[in-house]
Amino acid sequence: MIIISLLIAFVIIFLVSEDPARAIESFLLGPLQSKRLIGSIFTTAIPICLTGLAVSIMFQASMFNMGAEGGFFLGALADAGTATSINLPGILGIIVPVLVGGLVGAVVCAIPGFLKVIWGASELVSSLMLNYVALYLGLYILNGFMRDKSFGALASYPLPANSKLPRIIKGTSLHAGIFVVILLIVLSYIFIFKTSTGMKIRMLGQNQEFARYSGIKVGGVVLLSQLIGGMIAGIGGSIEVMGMYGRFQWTSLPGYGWDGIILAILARNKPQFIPVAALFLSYLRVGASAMASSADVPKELITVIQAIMIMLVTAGALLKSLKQKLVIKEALTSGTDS
Amino acid sequence: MEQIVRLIFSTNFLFSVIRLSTPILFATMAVLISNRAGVINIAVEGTMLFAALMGVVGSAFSGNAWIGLLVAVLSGMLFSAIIAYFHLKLETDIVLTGIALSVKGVRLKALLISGAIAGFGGAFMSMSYVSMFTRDMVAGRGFIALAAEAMGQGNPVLSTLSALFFGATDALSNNLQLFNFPSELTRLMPYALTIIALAFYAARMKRQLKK
Repeated sequence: MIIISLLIAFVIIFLVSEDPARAIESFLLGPLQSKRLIGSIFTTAIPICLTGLAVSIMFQASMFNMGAEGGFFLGALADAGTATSINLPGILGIIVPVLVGGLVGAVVCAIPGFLKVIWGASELVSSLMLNYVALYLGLYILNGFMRDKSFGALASYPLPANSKLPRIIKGTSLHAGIFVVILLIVLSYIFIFKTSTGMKIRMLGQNQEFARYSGIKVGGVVLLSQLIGGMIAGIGGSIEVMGMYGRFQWTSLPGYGWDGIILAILARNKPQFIPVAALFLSYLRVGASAMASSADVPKELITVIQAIMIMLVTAGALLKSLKQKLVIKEALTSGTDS
Repeated sequence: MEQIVRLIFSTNFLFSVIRLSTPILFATMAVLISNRAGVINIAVEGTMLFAALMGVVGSAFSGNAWIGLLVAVLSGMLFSAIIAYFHLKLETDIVLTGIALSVKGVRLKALLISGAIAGFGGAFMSMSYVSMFTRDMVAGRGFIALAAEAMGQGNPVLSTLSALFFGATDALSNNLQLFNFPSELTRLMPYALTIIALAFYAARMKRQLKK
């Protein structure tokens, strides 16, 4: 699937570029050309890795909660708000805002879960709507309470120095947020596969009726997985603001939550595969922007190529999971026959 | 407050309700027809945006609004055809190929009709509501339509009523901006009301099921 999508990408490049060989070369090998670009493969992967984890934990419980986007956005805003308004000494300047961001993210993503558990409202629709609510609520707070009027564009006050994540390798944009990512991947893996709560979530995702009969409190488990997923999304937003920007300055949804959904599908909701998928996607992005700057392929084409790849790869992933489900179904029916 | 009440009962407000309900209504019907065939088409939002762009492109190049509309509708169908390809191709594994084929045929038709209706909706956004294309101009109306369809329980008449309800909240939010309300909060309102309405509807359904 990946090969087919690469071929389609090449065909498009051949059609639009006058020097296709150079364009393709910089697309495939561009990211490896300098230390700075190799670093940016990793920095690009950081936020999408976290939203990918967030979405896979929410999806594990069979909840199609798209709220990671809103959780990421409001989490980042809460993080910047805490860091700029409270004077926190030393390392607390990082820890407290990140936790506040995580908490806000958890609340955002828990709302669709709550509506589903209590009243059975479709989490897909309510979470899609909630992202818009999160965007406009965030802009209202940013504009009304956090705006730095001396700054040209709509943005918060600058983060204090001790609330910025330090760069860990000179000459690259790689920041300390990567340690948080590694920690959360390990914790998510342990949570999903090695704890009894994680087992309940997985059981729920595979067969809701069976989970109910085996005495699992479905509502509580669903809500818990949405809270944890939302918390990771909120932490993701916080890490991105503190690692890459000096202030909060998004005025539209940055789209990392959608990337998280793509990653969760690619990784089949397994936390251990999220970093691989995230690095793949960020390699494509860095390669595509290297191509845009060194060859005559416009930047907008990148999104199209990316979309083709994602559609084909996703279709492949879905196909596999569908096959798996059919096998399970067949096994179950033959089991009851005998 | 009195001013707001007077506003709601004015003819201008009624006109704006109709104007703002139109795209939601198109999107709702697009969602409804594909849902009825068993495909939850959450791509109505994207289809409308694509059709909105193509409508402007088509009418600008041909100099004729009707050709623009035709281009918008056809591109909506094309967009849906791509979705249908991906969605229906995945189901080739289903064991009962014979039944699956006729199901697929129906779903393909439903998705194409859905795309055409969404195309009309997109054309309305860029060629009637305003006369240009802007980024993100559909602004979640395709998603609101999912809620409207769910509240109408897949019934066209009830779904139309819920689409009108969402059009009215949209119109109210537009008009409240005239009263010095913070614009972020008025733009938030239709989405928040959608969530509340969805929850209310779901709660009522649940109670009915219990009885």
